[in-house]
Amino acid sequence: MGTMRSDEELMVAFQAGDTAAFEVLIRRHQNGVYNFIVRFLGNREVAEEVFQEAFLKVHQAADRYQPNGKFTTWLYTIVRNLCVDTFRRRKIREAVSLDDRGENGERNLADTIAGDEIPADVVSSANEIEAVLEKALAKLNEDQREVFLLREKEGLKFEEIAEVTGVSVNTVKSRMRYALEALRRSLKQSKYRELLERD
Amino acid sequence: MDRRDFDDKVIDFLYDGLDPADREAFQAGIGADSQLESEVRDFGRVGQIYRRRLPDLQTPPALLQKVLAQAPKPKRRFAWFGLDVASFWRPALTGAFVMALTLAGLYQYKLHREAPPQVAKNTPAAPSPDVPIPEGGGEISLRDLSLARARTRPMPEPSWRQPRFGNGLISFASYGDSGPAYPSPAYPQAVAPGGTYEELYGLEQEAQNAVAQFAHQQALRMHSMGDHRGAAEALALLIKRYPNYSRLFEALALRIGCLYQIGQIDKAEQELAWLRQSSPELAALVEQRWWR
Repeated sequence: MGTMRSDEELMVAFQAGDTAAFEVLIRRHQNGVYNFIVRFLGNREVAEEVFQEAFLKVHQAADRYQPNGKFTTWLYTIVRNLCVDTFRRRKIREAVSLDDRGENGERNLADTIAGDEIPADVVSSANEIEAVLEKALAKLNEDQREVFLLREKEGLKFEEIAEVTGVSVNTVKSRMRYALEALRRSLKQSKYRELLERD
Repeated sequence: MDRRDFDDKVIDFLYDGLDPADREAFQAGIGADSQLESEVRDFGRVGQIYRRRLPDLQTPPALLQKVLAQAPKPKRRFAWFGLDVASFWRPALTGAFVMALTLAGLYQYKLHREAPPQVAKNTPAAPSPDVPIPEGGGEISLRDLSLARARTRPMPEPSWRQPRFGNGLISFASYGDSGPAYPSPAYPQAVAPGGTYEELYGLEQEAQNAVAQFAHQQALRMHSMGDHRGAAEALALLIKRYPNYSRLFEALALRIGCLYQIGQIDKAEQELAWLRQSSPELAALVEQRWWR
């Protein structure tokens, strides 16, 4: 029974023509990438498109991957950039559609992104506590949200997050502190404030 | 501990980024402020809550299959010992490829190149080093030494007019065209076919003399270095090729001396006899030198 190959070894193998190595990499990181995209964008339908595009980009950029760098850092740089692009495009569309609101001021589906409501598709698949947590997360601005998700859910170090997001480590730490403050405030205002007491 | 210090260090404190001394100092600082202490506790719990209570989503299997199916076949590249040799070799391989193409092109060009027509070459060809020269410089004859005869002697067909593509004249397609040629007005024929040396040398007398003088100097240099055989050969060629050379008889006198040096006495005597007919003064000098 052979030892499990590292991400970097798999990537080198893929560069050498081993297609199976790329499949192993996709299977290994699919859930992390999928979670990050869904929670960053707050929309599963869009997240699935971005997910496909992300791995296509990873494949296209595989030739430029340098084995001396950590694979997850490289992978999340690609994924994060795609998410930021998609998020900004959707925000522009949201601004345009806000101008197109009806006389009653009703909001369309695009307004759910990072808005006050919990996205409908998220609510439908999560229990109430999860929905509160998702809502609090969605209220963070994208800079704070990406740092929080990469640190707490994907387990990247602050230095790696700095590399992924292209800012200094101090900025990353500062964004993390703002994110924690905002999430704390959200939880305190929810009916699940006791979570902070006992969890 | 003031707010600024707290903000600066709280993340490092929560995620083990402080060294033990700073950690202890931070802990002591927040211990004196219940609000800061509660904030730190809550921050730590927020992280825990999200790790424990927010479950990881599973990628829909259909989506994964779609991604796997869409993954194109990789481009093959080299990987030796985990080194990124592709990026290392790419410029070298590209350079080698370009170089190979260039060399192949040059080789093809050399293979198929035709010698350009020598339309303006109206001086006799220089002696080729490949032409074997008889020992002692070959034979020269009295005719070679007769200026009047030489000038009216029929000129052999020069090399540039020997049959080749277009007979040495300009054709419509310069290379590879075996069709009829026409005389180019840009390169008028200096000497009509079947002309004489006189016509040719009439045009190029000074150039001929200069070339002959150079050959004479070469022969003198060989003679002074003791290469009498080489000097005799060079002088024979000079006399045959440049019969209008202004110092032709001095060249002959030198050649006679060389022939004496290499033991070609009979030849030397014969040529001395010719020299006597053309230039008795020089012949006397040669006799003085070799007959004393």
